[in-house]
Amino acid sequence: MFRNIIHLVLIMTLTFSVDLLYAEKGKVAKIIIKRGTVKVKEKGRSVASIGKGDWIAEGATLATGKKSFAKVLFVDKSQMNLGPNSQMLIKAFPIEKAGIITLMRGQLRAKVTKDYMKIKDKSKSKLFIQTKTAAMGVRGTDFQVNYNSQNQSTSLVTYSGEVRMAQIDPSSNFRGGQRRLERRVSSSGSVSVRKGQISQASPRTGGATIPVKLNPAQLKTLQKNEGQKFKKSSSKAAPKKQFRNVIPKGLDSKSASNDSGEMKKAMEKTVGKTQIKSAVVAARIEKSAVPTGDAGGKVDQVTGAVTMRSGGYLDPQTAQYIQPPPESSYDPMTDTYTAPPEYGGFDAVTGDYQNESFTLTPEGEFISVHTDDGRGPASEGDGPTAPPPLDPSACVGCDGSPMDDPFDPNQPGINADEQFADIEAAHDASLESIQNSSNVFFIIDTQ
Amino acid sequence: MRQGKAFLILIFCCLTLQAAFAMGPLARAFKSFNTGDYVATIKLLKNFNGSKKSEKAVKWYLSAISQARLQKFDQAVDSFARANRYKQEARDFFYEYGQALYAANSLEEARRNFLKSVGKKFKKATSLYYVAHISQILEQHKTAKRYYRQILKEEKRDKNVLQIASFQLAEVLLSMAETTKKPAAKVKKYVLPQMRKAIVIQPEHRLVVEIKNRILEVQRQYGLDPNQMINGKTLPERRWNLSFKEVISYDTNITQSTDLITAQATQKDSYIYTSSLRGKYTLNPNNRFIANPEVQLLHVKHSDQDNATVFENDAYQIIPALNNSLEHSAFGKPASFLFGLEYNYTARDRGQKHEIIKYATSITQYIGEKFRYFSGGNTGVKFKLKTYRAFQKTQDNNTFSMVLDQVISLKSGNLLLFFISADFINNIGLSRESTNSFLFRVDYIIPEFLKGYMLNIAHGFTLIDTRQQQATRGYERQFNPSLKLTKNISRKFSVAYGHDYTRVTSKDKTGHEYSKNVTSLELKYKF
Repeated sequence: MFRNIIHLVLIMTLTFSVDLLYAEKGKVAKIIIKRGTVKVKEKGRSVASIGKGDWIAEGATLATGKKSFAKVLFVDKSQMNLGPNSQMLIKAFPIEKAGIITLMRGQLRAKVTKDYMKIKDKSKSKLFIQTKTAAMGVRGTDFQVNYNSQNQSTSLVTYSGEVRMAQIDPSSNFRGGQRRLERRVSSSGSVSVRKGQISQASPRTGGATIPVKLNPAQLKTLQKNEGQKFKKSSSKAAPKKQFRNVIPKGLDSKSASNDSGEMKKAMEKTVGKTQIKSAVVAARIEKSAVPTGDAGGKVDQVTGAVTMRSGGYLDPQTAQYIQPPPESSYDPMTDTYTAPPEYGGFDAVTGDYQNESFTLTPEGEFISVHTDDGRGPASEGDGPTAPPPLDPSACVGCDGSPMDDPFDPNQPGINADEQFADIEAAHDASLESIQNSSNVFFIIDTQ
Repeated sequence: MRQGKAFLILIFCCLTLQAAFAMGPLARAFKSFNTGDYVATIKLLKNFNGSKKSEKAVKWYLSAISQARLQKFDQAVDSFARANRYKQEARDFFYEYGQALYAANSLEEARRNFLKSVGKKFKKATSLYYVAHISQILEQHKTAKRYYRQILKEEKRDKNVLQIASFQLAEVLLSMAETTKKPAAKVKKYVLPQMRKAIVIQPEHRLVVEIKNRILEVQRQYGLDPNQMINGKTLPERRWNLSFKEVISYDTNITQSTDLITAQATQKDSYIYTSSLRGKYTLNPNNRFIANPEVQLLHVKHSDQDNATVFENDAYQIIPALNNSLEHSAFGKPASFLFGLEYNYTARDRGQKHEIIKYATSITQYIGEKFRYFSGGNTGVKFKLKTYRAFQKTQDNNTFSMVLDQVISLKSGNLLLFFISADFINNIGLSRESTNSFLFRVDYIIPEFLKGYMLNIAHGFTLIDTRQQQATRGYERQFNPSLKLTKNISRKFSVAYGHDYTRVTSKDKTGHEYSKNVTSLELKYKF
């Protein structure tokens, strides 16, 4: 009997261990995985290293070093992974309201639990993530936020559920609680980023961009890597073969694409119609979870809003979305575009953006990686051309977008000759006025 | 017994259903392929070793396409080759294989596969395009020309392919022309017309801008640009120009009455509605001479129709002109010798009877020169002779003017305009009214003051030598600061807000000294 009482006490202790510990004032999260250098700064205390099993209080700032990582478990069982070279502030994490996390730099991957403790209104955000340029209201479960402090760009990728995103003017020094954040993410300028989609907010975008599908292969890789895997620096990697863009310049990519209907016929012939029908149905069910819509690359004729081409890559380092250009190949299976080889790709392990020939700067420019060592590059003259600078608001080549017509006589710019002609005409009129006015009295006198 | 039978039937149905929904490895791989998960597709197929030749063919074919979608074209080419060894017979096989080979730079082999795709009638036009395009890359121009022509002959529906094929045919013809003795003649006869045909296929497509730019480039390269003058100056492609302007202004002192308190009652203000329509045409019979006939129609109406001193200024003007230039070079840069003629017919409500009748006519002749001596911008010099004849003979005058203007483009992208005019007005009707006037004006233009807004800040100073009236009027001075803010709503439509202040000082304070403010809103549309 005594043994049973002890077992019961132990079970109850284990069951309520989190709550018992949470009873310690202000502690809201615990480090459950730590790799490399992870530091914390709590209110009234100096910066200190933190280890696995340590608790973090509300108001604490957590920072990771190079090739470092921290997985944090919150009292509501939400998990957040802070990537390398990142810093976040647990601004608020109350019991009955949504928490507020500020991402100051780097990468944050979060899995928010559905039944968030005791929040009454399930339609409102369960958690708010804030950067200098964006506010996000989490209504789903799994997503990733990247923020680059140099270009002040925030990118959001949703792996499951829905996250609302709105831009914040970095110069406005936005401060607000849950109510103000909820209003912001529910405002007309906010967007809803769903499973498989990406949106970006920065001073250059002028608002949160209309969500588009991220490259499906990169999406899957990023989803698998929760920030724990790091890219191996290969200083002497064998140069990869340069490929041509599969779509010749000028050819419409949708016309040149293949919907693989013939593949289906070949499969049916070999495997049997029943199996293939099942495969198609199963695929359709799986795809129905991902939002449909066109592949982007359009300008709304009424509002002027630009939807970038879908299927591009995310560069987590600079928090920029690399939109596929107009000459990209189109994939009817995923309804996305695949950028030509010179736009790079992604690491198969980490999902990080990589480009053998060009480096993407925080300002959105592609700079050649070829160094001048006295020898020309091996493929001199045949090397890829640098992609144009990123401009999230541009939609060159989209349907209905205005382009400079070289035959249009109404070219933008000032015509100095026209200006002088106007000045001359005004001067002549002024002279005439002087002459005529000086005669007025004489006319009156003679009448 | 019956229960046993029912049980057996039930089991049989379950097994059948299970079989129906059970997928083998190839079907599972196809399901992944359909969701766009090409990595998973390749992984599933890697572990599959089919026993039948058809299974192996399909396995490698599906692997190849998945690798191609991931842009791993070298691996895709290998897989396609294996599928080909197993005699993969899908209609699109050679098309996909051709694309992978093209991306992997195996052009000759790619072309062979696209030709097979043409034979199988799969995406025939696009396959033919690849064949022609590859021939063009390999500089086999005759072959390329043959296949582009085949597309234009056979393809009826896909306008995208038709347009690009038409344009690329022109490029091939250009490459062929460059090897002949007189390329310019061939370019004019074959290449440029072919490029223009491409524009007509889909005039609104984004490719058209590229084609037009290419036409301009080729024309300039071969001296075939009808819009390029001998000195390099280019004229717009469209020769006519038509614009309409409506200006609504508010003038605080239309009567130009003195500011003296005793006479301020004579100051009249009013809104003024000025409408003007201007049309111009550019003619260049050769690459040296340009003639610009133009006509302007102007109508002025004042809102105050009660005060005679105001509404007597209601007017209309008809101004035909012929402005010409002879193009040449000066100081190593394009220059123009200018000469022209302008006729002005003005009608006004001079009788103060709400009736606009003939007021005056004038003829202005000028010669001048525009050249670029300073790196900052063009310099203009002009000599004008104006013959003004009014209904009132005492207003008749001849004016000789010398005008000097200079443009300076600043590094910031802003512009400085200097304008100097010396006008010698000889009143032949009443000689004591003759005056000399010297204007000095500076304009500072900020093209992008705010996004989409242009700002023009100007100040003019005019010194008027009253000559025979020196004793009563002395030297009169006119100060005229102004600003104008223009917003380009579109390439054709602009809106501008302007404010003009004028202050004239004179020895004769009661008769000739005044000030006024004119605020205006201008709407301009260019057709």
